[in-house]
Amino acid sequence: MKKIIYTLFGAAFLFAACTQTEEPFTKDNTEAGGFSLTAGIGTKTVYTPPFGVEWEATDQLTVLVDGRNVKFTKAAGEGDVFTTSDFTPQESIEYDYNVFYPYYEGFTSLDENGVTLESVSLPYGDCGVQKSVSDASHVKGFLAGKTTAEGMESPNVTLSHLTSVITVNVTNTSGRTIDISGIEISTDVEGTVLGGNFKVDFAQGRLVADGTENSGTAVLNVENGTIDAGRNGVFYVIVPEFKVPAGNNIIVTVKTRANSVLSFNKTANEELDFRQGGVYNTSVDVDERPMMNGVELKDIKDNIMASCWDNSGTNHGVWFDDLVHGQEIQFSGIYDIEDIYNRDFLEYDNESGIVTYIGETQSLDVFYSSTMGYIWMANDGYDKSKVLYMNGYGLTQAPKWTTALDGIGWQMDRGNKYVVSTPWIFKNIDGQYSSAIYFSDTNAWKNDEYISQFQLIGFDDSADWIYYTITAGEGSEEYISTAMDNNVPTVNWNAAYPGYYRLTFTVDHDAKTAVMSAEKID
Amino acid sequence: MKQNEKLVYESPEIVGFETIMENGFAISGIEAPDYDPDRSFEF
Repeated sequence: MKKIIYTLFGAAFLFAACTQTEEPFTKDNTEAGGFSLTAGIGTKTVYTPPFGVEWEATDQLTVLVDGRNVKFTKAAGEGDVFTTSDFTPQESIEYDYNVFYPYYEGFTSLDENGVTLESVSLPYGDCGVQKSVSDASHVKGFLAGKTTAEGMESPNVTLSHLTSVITVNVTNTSGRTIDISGIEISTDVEGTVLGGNFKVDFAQGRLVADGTENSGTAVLNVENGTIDAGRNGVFYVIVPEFKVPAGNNIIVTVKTRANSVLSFNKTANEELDFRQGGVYNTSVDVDERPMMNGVELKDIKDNIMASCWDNSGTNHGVWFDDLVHGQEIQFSGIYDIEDIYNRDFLEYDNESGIVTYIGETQSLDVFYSSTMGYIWMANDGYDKSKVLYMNGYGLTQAPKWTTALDGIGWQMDRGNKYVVSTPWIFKNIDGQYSSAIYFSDTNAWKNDEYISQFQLIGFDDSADWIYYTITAGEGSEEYISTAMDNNVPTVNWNAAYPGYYRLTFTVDHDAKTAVMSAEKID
Repeated sequence: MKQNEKLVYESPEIVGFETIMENGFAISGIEAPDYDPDRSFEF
């Protein structure tokens, strides 16, 4: 058995519901030797798309009668019977019954026009949360009705919906999985109220915005909103009645957990009357793109040879002018940013989720791979005096190893175009270079002894390769052996892998030597 | 109306639906209204 816990917000007696907890039947003694029963409450009315609504066992009603708020609870079994032990009509007295669903203890009485003195909130409580894609169990609107009956005569009440449902059918055309976090409905019609606090007008059978917390946006939060590429999902938003004149727009906004906010204007060709009790359907195609500071990034998910080395322009990413050290970077359309952000140029705050640019102030070429899961940032054309290269196998700058990388290793003779497997080592100060490298334990090259081997390479003045002899410096021996021949360090198996490592090389260009230090980083 | 077994307490306090009716009241025939297809449209 479950019991609904209602929460009151301050003096306004705003209404929150749908928060559920397990609790058995309880018995509360009342005065005059009577009693009341608080039954365990199950979920509220059951909505079966597209139009069906049924009572759930032990649903409860608010009944304003004889100047009181009386709770009626649905009796178990067949039939639409609601009972109370808190009210007994007197013979020969005519009563006005104002009935509201669900039960709200905050209602006290009505004004002279039949309007409640207190307000309810829309959406209310957890009812503003859809639990998963295409799940409709959160659809629980307000119902109201009124009637008159005399004495013990059972009132004949017809309830009507005070809200309606907008169904938003989202098709994922992004070519990759997306994760919906919320849906919002608004209009460009001034004065439209789609959320906030409302009084109940029993005389007119409608909601009346009370001027507090009222918003022109209906908000649905979504849990478990994953939609695979090419698939669709349906989302249900509860709204009060509203109208949209011809030529105006209904704005459907889709939010994702990758911080994308995608809005779609639906223009009314004629006046659209979203009357209470209706179900209104719309569809949107969501093509979520990776964005940085509002600019779409190039996604190299199929072309791992995309490169910013050749200056041809065709393989460049997106150029960002004058990135300033310390500035905040806004990413959207990129999932798991905490795993894939570029450790050499960016800093990620785990608590705030804020990404900060930590490189020197400069212009950079930026691109992204949804397949490999990484954000590359580089100078145009890469000045040989500013960068060295790692060459080998089993190492990447991206945390994902894909089968597209399996055949690629020791590829310097092919022009350094494999940006994934040929990491750049950036110059920090004269004679010192460092970069964050991801060593993966799932790469195709690994064997029982080691998971990666690599060289450190630069250029001489004639643009010929320089191969540096690497010796182990601080911390590196814990992770990397330099005992191999041919200046090829070996990344050994140990408990530290896989993960990001910051490798720092102190280089003597004339002697063609480098002392390496290694540090595991988050 | 039939006795509501869900509202019956076990001993020592046996409370049946008839007892409730002696002290309270019931409303019957309140239907949960479906949404109205005639009020619905695509946009």
